[in-house]
Amino acid sequence: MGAPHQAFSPARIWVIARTTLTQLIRMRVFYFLLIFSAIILAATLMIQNFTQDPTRQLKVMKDMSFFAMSIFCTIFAIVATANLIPKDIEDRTLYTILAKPVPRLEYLLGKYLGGMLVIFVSVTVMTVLLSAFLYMRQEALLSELQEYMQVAEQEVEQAPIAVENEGLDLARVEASSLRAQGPSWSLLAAVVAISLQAMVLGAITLCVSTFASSGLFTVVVAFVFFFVGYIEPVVVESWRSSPEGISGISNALITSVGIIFPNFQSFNLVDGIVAGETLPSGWLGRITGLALGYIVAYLVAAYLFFADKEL
Amino acid sequence: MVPAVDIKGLTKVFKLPSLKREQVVAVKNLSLQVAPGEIYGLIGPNGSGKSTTMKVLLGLISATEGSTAIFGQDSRKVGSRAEVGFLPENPYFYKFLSAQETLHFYGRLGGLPKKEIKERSKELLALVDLEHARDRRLSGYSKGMLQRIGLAQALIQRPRLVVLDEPTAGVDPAGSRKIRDLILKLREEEISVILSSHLLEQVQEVCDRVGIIFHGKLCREGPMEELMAIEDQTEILLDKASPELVEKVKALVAEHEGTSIIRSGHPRTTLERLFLEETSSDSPDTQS
Repeated sequence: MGAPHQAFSPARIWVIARTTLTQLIRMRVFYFLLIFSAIILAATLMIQNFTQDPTRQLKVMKDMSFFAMSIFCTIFAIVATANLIPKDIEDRTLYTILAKPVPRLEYLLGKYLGGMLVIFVSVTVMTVLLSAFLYMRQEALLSELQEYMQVAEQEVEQAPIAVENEGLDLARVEASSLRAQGPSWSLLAAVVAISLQAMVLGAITLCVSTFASSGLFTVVVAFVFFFVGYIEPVVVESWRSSPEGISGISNALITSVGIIFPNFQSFNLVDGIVAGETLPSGWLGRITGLALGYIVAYLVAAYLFFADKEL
Repeated sequence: MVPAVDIKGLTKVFKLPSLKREQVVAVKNLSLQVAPGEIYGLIGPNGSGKSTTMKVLLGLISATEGSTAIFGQDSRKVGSRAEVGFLPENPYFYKFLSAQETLHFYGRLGGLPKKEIKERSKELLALVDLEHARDRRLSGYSKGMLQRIGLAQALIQRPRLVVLDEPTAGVDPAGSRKIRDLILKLREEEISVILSSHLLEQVQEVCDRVGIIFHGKLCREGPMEELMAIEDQTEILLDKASPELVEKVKALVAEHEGTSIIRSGHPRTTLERLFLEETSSDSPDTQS
């Protein structure tokens, strides 16, 4: 006879999460990291042909890398999570898991956590890759600038009369600007925002997968949530600011849509960070709170659908 | 004594996904008990309600009416499953895990500490004859091997009740015989078993009691010997009897009014026994 049953066990959740992580790793999902590396490398090499401005080069490189990271995380959060539960049901693996003393809530949390662990590992690797490429490119550009500045300084020193070298002054400004575009904490802020968005999408997808009839349906619905959540704040803003105004029913409808569909614009910090804008104070607490609120809400909904599901 | 399984008045109605609100009665007012240490065979044609009964017992689906209990505990409660091991029909475990990892996974879910899982896995892999394939991923396992690792995972947390749904489905006779032997070992360890199978000969060999389920109703139930005996007939099996002796027996029977010989001749072996005799040489497991 086994050990006495615990009503709620973080250890069981961790076992399911770790196995889900193993599953996704052995499915070779991390191959996409190679594609990500290729995109950063291509961005690094190609951008030199389009602009000679060193600061602009780093900005475009960051812009492209964050875009790729965001796309990968969004697709991954939806596609990988969509099949976690349906596949276990189809293969009847779920029968053997739930025939052990495992509450359905623990199973759901374990599956979600496993999916999120994969996103965490991917984002960490992508951040390290991006920081490394960015650092190398920044160092290369600074070194070129340094060489130019040394030559310019020598010219100034060797000049028979005191002269002003505008190029040297510009190079000094450029070097300072270039240093600000390297790996920094603000990059991490963008990474956190992208990760939180992926976690919310994962929770939505898991929720839909508990009642969906097919994996395709789950993926489509999750993408609809993403796009509606992304464009909804813009549409609502333009409606509300229209001179005709909106009726009470429309207002109620818009409010309901705003509650059900997360505002994914709130997680869009990348543009501001790449442009060098200062983050608003308390941004981390605000978007983490928003993300956690939606994650908890969608996981509770997933449990309500899954608790009495006939398997 | 608290029964291992106590099902009372179980009815399960499935609502079909249609606009007409159609329903299917899968199990109707079924009651049965399994004593501790007993091997109970649940037999019936496809769609008769065997798997549904097992699923309700395991809390995978809910009963429309009636109650189910495992060792006196309501089987809807998750805690009751600490005492249960389950092998579903045609199980697919995580193919990306090895046998060792599979047992570790299910052992942890069953609440066993890591050290105990290690020892128990070794023991079970020897029991199901899969020691040689312990580090091989299940994607490379044959059907018989999958059924055996399935049985091992069902036993990992030393359950007092094992539920086996078609444990030999799709398995060749040799693999099927291995599973039969494992079930008999469970009896030696006084583990209760509910077994559903289409291999009636196997059910006959291993079960103490049998219930026949048809259209969701339990039609017949009782101890194997009682159900199988034809009360008004007697069987005498003679070894090395000469034709003269057989004639004498026939003549003796003929002297008694109302008694007759229904059949005489050489008894036949079963096709399964013949197959096993001819293919009994041990060969390593290979994927079919």
